[in-house]
This record gives sequence, C-alpha cells and structure tokens, in this order.
Amino acid sequence: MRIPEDKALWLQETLLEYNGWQWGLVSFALGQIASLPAGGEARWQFGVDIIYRTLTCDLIGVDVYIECHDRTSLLNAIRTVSPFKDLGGSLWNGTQVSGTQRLSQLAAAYFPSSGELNHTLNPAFIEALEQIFAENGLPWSEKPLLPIMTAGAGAGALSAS
Amino acid sequence: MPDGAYITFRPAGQASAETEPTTASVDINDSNINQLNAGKMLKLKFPKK
Repeated sequence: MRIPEDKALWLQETLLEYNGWQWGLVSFALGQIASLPAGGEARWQFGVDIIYRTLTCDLIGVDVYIECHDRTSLLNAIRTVSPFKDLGGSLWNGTQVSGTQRLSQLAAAYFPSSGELNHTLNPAFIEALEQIFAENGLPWSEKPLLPIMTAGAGAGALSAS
Repeated sequence: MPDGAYITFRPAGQASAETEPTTASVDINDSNINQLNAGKMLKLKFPKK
C-alpha cells in the first residue's frame, strides 16, 4: 500500500459515502486527515487531485455542473476557486457527484456485508484503488497532478491545460 | 444561507441513476457543524417508509 494510512482511510470513507449516493463535490475537500491541516492549500490540492484521479478512473461521475459546464471547465475551476473561501461557494457545493457502477462493483467486492460506512481501513481495497490509478496512468504520488492556482500565482497556466 | 452555510436538498428520485430512488437526502456545509462532525459536512438520508 503506497497511500499513507491517514489519506487512505479518508479516501476509503469518502468513496464509500459516494457509493450509491449523490453529494456535493465539496466533500472531497472536507474531513480530517492528520497530515493535512484543514482549510489549507495542501488540503485543497489533495482534494483537487483526488477528484481528478477518481473522475479519470471512472469511480465518480458528475451529475450536475454548477459554475462550470463540462469536465474540463470543472477541473480548471476547482484549481482556481478555493473550497474554503465562502465555504466553497456554489461551485464546490452545487456541483453534484455520485459514485459510478465501477465504484459500486469495487465496494461490493471489498465491503460485501453492508453499504454502511466502514471506519476500519481495508488495505486490500486501497491496493485495488492504487491498481486502478496505475492502470489509468495516475500511479499514486504525493506530487500535485493539477496544481492549484492560488491568488497571485497567475491565471496564465490555466489556458495551457 | 445568510450565515454562509450551504444546504442542498435532493428529493427522492431526483438524484442520479446510481442513487437510491426512494430516499431523499440533504447535505449541510456549515463551518460550525463541520467542526462537530470530524471536519465533514453533515449528510442526511430520508428513506420513504
């Protein structure tokens, strides 16, 4: 298992919450992770990268776009607008996301007994996720995948993505 | 909401095809509530009886 335990447990719980349910996108920026201070840029970056990973790997899908209109504009927007400014505003709260069939099948394979949250880390589930990430060209790494654009960083890079 | 909280309500059957069609849901993103809920927004499910 390459994903650190605190991030792995958060990832497991978050994906299980979306499995079979639609929630606001902002959940990916919330929830305690010991190694990432809540509300900071590192937490924002982590949320953006997990959204990118799970969208690319067809584990989540976007049902409703708010303040963006497709996947590309969504990914650009979440790099630019902090989920912690004004509680994330309409972009992070209004954009609606749910788990895909692929996520449902994965969850059923590793959490067969119920659809309820399991607060105990299942390393086999995480390793299966890591395998999916790698198969989609996104092996686990702590390096940012889609660097966030903080105030003053300049917006020019957005047009290059 | 005026205090900056965001509340999203999804009537039963109005969410995506992958979601339970007989259960309405609400999520509340409010900094005070989040602090009491392990940093997460509050997610509520309301199944039809």
